Amino acid sequence: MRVFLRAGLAVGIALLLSWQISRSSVFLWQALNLTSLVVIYFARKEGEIFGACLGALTGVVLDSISAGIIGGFGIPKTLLGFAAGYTAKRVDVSSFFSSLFFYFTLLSSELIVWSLLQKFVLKIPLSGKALLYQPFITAFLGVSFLWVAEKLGPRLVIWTKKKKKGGRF
Amino acid sequence: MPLFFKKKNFIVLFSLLGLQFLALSLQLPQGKERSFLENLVFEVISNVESGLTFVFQGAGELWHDYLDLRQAREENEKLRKENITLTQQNLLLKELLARLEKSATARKILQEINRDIVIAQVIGLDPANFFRTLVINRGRAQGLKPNMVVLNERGQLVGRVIKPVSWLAATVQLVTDSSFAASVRTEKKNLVGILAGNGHGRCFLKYILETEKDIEVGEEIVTTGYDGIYFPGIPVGRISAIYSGQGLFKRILVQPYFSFRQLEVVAVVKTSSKEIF
Repeated sequence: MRVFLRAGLAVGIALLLSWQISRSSVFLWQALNLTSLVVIYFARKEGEIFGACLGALTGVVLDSISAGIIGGFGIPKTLLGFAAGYTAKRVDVSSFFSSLFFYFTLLSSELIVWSLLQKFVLKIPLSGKALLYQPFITAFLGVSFLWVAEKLGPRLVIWTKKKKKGGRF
Repeated sequence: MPLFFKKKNFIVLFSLLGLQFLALSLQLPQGKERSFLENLVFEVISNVESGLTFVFQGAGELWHDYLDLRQAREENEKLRKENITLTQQNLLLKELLARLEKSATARKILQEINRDIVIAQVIGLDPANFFRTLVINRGRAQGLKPNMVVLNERGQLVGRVIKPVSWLAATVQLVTDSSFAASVRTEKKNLVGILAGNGHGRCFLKYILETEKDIEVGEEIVTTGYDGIYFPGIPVGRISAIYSGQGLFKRILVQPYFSFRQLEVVAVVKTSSKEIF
């Protein structure tokens, strides 16, 4: 239950952040697919079923706030979540570069599926050159952020504990 | 039984995809009425979005209040909203006065306009294409309905309210949306055409004949009111390029006045064009 809440909260924050980014830079807004980052992150940790469900829910949320149709975002995100969970179980993506490749491949595939759906099924014109850079920029920034967080996180915990111990004396 | 059906992971995946494809097929072709499912999801999500924006902005404002003088800020906000309302009123009044000068019904209509402008905050942009739609934090509770005109702070055309409209939120179709259309004219030479969005941040002025010479770059485009949705005389944008020699009609690009990046507050005119004119 806790993981559902965490994932929901993360998607909410990602949406809000995206919207705030749109205020300052349209390019960054298009180039950063934060909701997909959240879906991949949780799918990698929790598995393909969780990933597919989270992807579907995130997609429905995005579809409802766009003028699009339910499924336009949902289908690519469901596939993304499932593929992320399924692949992460079978391939070692722990190093920085393998993780970058993993994220990049998944984000590129999602973009292709989404673009094909928009263009040929929903007949909606695609806009913005930033979309072309989206997989790389999102993967690079996302993986870098996670890598720093994973490296610094445990050290920060140890440092805090040491400081607490020092404070008692 | 195929192998993949024995795996529950794939059953979940295909169920999720199947449901979404079903929803997708029920909603296609586009252009018909929004389905119950779409309306229901919008109703729920728009409220969540509105709440989240409220919390997020509330936290931001708390910080600003800490830095600024609180009273001065509140006063500023009040004056800003007042200014927006007055700009919209001024725009409509100008047009009305020109048309209804000496008319006995003018006073009654002007009183109507005075209370029929709703100031709304933008709470979301279309994640698929930001030139198509946005979501505002005013809905049925404030009397909003589809086809109401939406203007920016300077009284320039932003778009119109479209379905779905929830209790506390509404969708606005932008003039840059490729399915947008409005009857417009050039300000100086009075050439009438149809304005349509190009889906990439600009609009096309359609159906101006190739033989037409009285049109030039930089000319202002305003609404005519012939479509029965938009009031006459609303400024839309300026002609940014004219391409000739491509057929019966000229290809004219229009740069809209509004910038969606600066769109924080919009004004929705509740009185319909038909009610006034």
